[in-house]
Amino acid sequence: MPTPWEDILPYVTKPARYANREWNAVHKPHDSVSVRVALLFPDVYDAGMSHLGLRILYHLLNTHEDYLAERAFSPWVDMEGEMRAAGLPLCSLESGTPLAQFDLLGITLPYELHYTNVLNALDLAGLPLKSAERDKRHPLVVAGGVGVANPEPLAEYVDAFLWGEGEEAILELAEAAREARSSDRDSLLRQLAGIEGVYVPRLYEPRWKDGRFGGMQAEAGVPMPIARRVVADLDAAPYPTRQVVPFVETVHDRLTLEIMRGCGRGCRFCQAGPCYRPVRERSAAAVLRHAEEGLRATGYDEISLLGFNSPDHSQIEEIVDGLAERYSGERVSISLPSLRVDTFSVRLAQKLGMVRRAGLTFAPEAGTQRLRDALRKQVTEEDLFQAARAAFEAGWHGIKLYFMIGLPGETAEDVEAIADVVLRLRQMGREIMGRERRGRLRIAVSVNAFVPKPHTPMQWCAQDAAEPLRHKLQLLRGKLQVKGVQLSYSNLAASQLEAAFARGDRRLGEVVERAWRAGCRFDAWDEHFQSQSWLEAFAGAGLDIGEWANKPLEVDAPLPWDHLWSGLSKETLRRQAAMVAGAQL
Amino acid sequence: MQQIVCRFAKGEAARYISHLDLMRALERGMRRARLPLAYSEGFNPRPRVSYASALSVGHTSDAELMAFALTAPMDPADARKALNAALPNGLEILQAWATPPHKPKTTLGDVDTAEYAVRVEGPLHDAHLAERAAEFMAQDEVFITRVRDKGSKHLNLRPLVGEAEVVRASAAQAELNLRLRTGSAGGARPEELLAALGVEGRAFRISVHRTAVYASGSSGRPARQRLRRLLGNE
Repeated sequence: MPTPWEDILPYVTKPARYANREWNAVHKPHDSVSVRVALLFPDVYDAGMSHLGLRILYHLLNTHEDYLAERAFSPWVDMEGEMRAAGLPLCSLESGTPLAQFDLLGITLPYELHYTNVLNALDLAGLPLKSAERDKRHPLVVAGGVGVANPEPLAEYVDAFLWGEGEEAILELAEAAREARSSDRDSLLRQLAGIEGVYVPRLYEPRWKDGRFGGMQAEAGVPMPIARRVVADLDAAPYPTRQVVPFVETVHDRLTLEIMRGCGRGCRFCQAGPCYRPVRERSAAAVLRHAEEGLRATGYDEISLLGFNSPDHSQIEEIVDGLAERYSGERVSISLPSLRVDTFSVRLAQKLGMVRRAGLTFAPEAGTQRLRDALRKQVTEEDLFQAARAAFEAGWHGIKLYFMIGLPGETAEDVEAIADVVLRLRQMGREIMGRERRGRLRIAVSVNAFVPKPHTPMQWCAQDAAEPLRHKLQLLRGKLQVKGVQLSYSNLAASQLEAAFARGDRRLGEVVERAWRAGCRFDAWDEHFQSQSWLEAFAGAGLDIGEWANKPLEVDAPLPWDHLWSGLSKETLRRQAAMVAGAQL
Repeated sequence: MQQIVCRFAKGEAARYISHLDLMRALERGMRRARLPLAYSEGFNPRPRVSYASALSVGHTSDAELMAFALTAPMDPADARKALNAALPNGLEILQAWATPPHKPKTTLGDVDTAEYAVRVEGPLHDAHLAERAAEFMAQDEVFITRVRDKGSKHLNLRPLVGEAEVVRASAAQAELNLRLRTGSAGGARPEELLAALGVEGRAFRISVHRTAVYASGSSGRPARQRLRRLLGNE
């Protein structure tokens, strides 16, 4: 059966992105179920296909006999142009059903820079943008994912947010969506608010005090705060092994195996701790079983192990040994992308045969011990040099390093220290590799502006202003202009936007809408990020991006995400925050 | 080691995938089918699979040729069945042969000719397609400009066209049978020939289906018998 967009495919790039008969795609007849869910990832297919959350929800909904789930992705800019010209609405991939006809539209919010894509998708679907403008003639629009840590900028556009993990909640939401087309929308949303982890913005009213956010007023009978939904027994939680195998080359085009959730390290800038807690593991036995089932069901020849700080898994050696033993003869490559900065991690990577095949990534984050201590990043320079030494001696030609700049209390010495560390690592690498090999040495340095993230101890910290950041990057560029070192860095204007949305309140919704109307899309893509349009969007709304991104927040003031409870008290965060400041003295 | 050669189809459901996508899809299918694939040596071992000719994005075919090597012998009929059970919609193995034991290694690199059944829909009323095709074939030189990412190139299209026959034509629809050169030595695309006949642009919908690929004899005439002998009996 031809798809609705069949006729325009000859005129777009990578038309296979819109192909819908991939291996393991589930095509359930619509009349065989009571609840139809569309899962939308607000980025192009190639970027969104590998998202684990999407795969988990797709699997859970489709294995339920009374529900079905189909996927939808943001069409690329050329496809969008063709669709609008042809009057084609955004449809699901599997059956070509317009998204507007589903009972539930579940949107993944991976990252602040996808907001315009979310609005664009709603518009392309032919749906009224605002939640208040939708009723039982439209699907329920629910959003979930990391972006729900502070969802306020989209609060007026989404009916409900799922704060936390979706395995159980998605089934409860689907069940409630049975009534999406029959029940009065207001009362249905009230019902949704009763599901653990669900935040229904229209039942929570922001207060304003002197032009600032002054707290959230919840209606009677709804949870305040809203506790994060957590799957207690991760090991027992179903895992999708029949993963859809895309035709086109996608980001992370391999079998993804989740080995753990959460991170116990406690780095003060990072959301992984607060937003994915408690740390839970899938057992080695389960991981090995998923590997076997997954490879048979997909035909992939690459496995990637997913988890923050994977070497912290209590059975990591069993997992690594088990996989290496089972698959090295079968030409299946295994990668462990998340490493600790230590030789233990390098040994694990070696056992997996990653030498030269896959890169090693370390995240020292800061150039000086002083700053690393402020961040609570438990990495010493000795750790870093020992890990790098182990890597070069094992045969790796290159390593990748992640650093942040614009950290609170950062001085010129701290920034120079980044360059200094990199150059000394390079020197060590050249010595170890020797004259013959040293020409192949590659140290990739990725430098990103610090972004204060909600629910972390550093949520109150300001992001450095554009000028100092540019100056710091220039300094690094100058010092690292040497053979064998490759410096990359994030778009500073995009980072500022990220920071503003990360800490934004509901007023930023208007900014997103203005930017979208001005043509902003795919803001996470460098070539599409329109800095000027965003500045104009802020100006048009009478707001200053610097207020959210570049000013420290008062430690005692209410925050726009306080109504979402991570499990960590503000007191705990405040104490940690004081240590950030303390470490700078 | 054994080599199996297949003729396979790329149908509607896989019409828009690229040749690289296709290679990946078939390889993954082979792994799902648990075929004992032989791998190349060296630092980055790849399964030993080769293709006669890349099929363009947007074209369908029931004549594609592929060869792959196995470490253990297998009845080609079994390989075909196992692979078909593990391939996504739009890809299907139509025939499978084992190469004769005295010729264990066959490359499909000799393939240099392809035949196409092309359907055109659109404003053809004044196109005089049959006349233009005849005119084209009567020339020795017809130059076109081929635009690629790296720049554009002028080339003589005519020698790359073995046959351009208009089977049917009406005011709004036409069917053509084409025989064009293909492969690494240089080939022509059906769309290029159609453009040279005045059929191009969004007013027309062009549907290309490849019906045969083979190695022509040194005399330039198609030599299907020679290919059959090369591959073993059909």
